[in-house]
Amino acid sequence: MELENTSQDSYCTLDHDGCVVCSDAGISLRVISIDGDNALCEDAVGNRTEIAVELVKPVATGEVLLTHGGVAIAKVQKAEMLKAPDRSRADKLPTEGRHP
Amino acid sequence: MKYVDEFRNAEIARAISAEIAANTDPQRHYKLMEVCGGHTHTIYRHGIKDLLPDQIELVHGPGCPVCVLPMGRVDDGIAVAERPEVIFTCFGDMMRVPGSKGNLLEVKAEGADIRMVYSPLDALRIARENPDREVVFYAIGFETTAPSTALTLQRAKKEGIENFSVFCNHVTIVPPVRALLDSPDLRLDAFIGPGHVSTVIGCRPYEFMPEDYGKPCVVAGFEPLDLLQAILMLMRQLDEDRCEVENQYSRIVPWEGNLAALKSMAEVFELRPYFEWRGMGFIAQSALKLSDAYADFDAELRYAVPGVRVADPKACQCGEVLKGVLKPWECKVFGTACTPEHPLGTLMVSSEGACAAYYNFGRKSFEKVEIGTSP
Repeated sequence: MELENTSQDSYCTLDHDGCVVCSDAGISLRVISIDGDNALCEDAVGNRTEIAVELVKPVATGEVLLTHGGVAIAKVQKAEMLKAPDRSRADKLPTEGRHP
Repeated sequence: MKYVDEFRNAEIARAISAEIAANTDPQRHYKLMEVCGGHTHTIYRHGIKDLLPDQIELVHGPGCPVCVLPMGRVDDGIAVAERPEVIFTCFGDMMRVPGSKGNLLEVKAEGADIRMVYSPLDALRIARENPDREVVFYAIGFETTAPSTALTLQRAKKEGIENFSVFCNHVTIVPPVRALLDSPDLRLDAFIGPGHVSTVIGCRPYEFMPEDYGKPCVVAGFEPLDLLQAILMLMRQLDEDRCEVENQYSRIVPWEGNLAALKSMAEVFELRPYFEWRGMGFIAQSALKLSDAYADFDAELRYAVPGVRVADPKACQCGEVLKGVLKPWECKVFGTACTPEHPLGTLMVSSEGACAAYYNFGRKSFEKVEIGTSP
């Protein structure tokens, strides 16, 4: 688990419910175990909860899911570290996707 | 946790900031709208505005479902909550949203059985545990939240749970953005698209922005570097006279969205012909109701509700702030009659509301100074 250097105040976690009702925020949780359509998941500070995973199946332990209102709505892909812009290689930025 | 720390690196933020400045025409004023309340929250929590040239103005959009809910819908929910046979469940922030005669917290204090839940699945569990009571879930949210309601109703139907119903206030993001683009009040140059809504609907629904209105859109994540990078992508499009939809948040947002979630929503919901948005009036096909197949779970059909349209308090200017016409601190009651502790308008209730974001992160003093000097 890569849960070191976390601060509850800085992260969206299960017991910081400020974003539960909001329009567009979700909580990233790591899958601990799977039981049918539900998975036991853990947030950045170790809180655990059951999450419905029908909408993102198949799910494997260790995967990170974006959850909202107790339901997983997306899988979080391994993020590349953002690089500082290199003006001589401007076409390398931004690192993420464009219209395919 | 990985996926977070790498998106808060100050050195990279400064470098992207310099790149944004290099792509900014000093003779031009840019108005970029962040549609989503989550982005507004990030912008003021992390001081993103300090890293942008003066020529770039960020305009806050209507992407907070609590904020856009009209007062009459709150009154309707309270009418259901006051019924003695009902256990009324809702998300936390919803309990503080003012109706015309008070909020759900006050009704709860007077004896109504109102319970805060984290998930609609929690409401369904309460229904299972209380077969002699009627459990109502007050559903609210954009396409990020709608799948959880849809999934809950599918489970309720499968399990044959009859004492559960949903008061549906789900809204959709594209119609209000189109309404804003049609509004003569506002001239916008480009849009920062909502990240987590897009995990469900994908990026394709935003193609009308470049195609019909000539406005670029970049779907963005919620960390500070996500937003800076999205702004850089927009500034490059404007600088290069390009106009397209791009996806900054591709580590989470697939271009086509979540097909399983969309299928679930299509089974459970159908579009309402129209729905009232606070400050924006009635917008066609901008909200969801339960489909005929799930009509038995529709609380609006199960219970009589007032269904009355209630005007906002006269002093409240949430509507103008929601449309980006006014900044929060320009509202007459901002920080005086309207505070997070005693909100007059919805924008001060939710942590994602533009007024609460300004108030909580102390931006008002900075902005008040800046307003006299801004272009």
